[in-house]
Amino acid sequence: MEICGILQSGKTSVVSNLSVAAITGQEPRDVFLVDADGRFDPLLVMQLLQADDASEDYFETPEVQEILERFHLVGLAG
Amino acid sequence: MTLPPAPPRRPQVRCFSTLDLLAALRALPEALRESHARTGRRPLVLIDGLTSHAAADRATRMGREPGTTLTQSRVQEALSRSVQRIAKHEHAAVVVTTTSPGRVNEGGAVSPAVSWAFRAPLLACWRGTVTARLMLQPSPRSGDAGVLLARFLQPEAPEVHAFRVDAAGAVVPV
Repeated sequence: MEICGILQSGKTSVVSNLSVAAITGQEPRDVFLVDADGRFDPLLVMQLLQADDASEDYFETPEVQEILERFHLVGLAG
Repeated sequence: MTLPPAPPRRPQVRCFSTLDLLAALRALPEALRESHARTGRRPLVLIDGLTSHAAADRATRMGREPGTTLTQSRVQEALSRSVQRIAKHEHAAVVVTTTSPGRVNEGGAVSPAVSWAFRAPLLACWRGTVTARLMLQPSPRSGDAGVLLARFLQPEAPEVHAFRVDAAGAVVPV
């Protein structure tokens, strides 16, 4: 799959969220990040994983479930 | 005694040139095979900024010296083959991000308005590699500061999804 967009259009944020969804999903899987852009901040992913509101419950919230479904993120991971 | 399954891993490779990127992709298959054998699940490969170094490659005139075999098109072909190999033979799901030259209208000119016309940032050798394409762009409406738009171009879907990225980096629908 290709995620294409102009600068500052959210590409890195979408793949960061996809990374977190794949690691913490119902069937957690290894994620290999290849960062050619210099923007994929590992701290951002850790922040998403470890933030107070990013606990297990975070991914069960309707808002997060909706965005994952709308962007087919969980499905794409499989 | 059965050991508990290992938690999922998140190895990261940071690349500083197109050749770094090619080396990273050529080194991935062994790790992907190990991952698949260990977990039984398809690993996910995220390549962020696939086209990031194209401008630098052009600026440094990669491959334009007489007699060189390291041309831009050959490196791109090798990158494309590596990604296809990872997807087809190593049981991995692959997502790449690319940077579009900008909003384009049907005539190919840059447009200030929302347009989903697509001008491929990848060279021809990538045709056939991409199986799905999600296009992103900022909303051009003046009252939509920070609002981003997404739409699937392949397979084509008419729905446009609006979202923001919050301070923690989370994608939040609006």
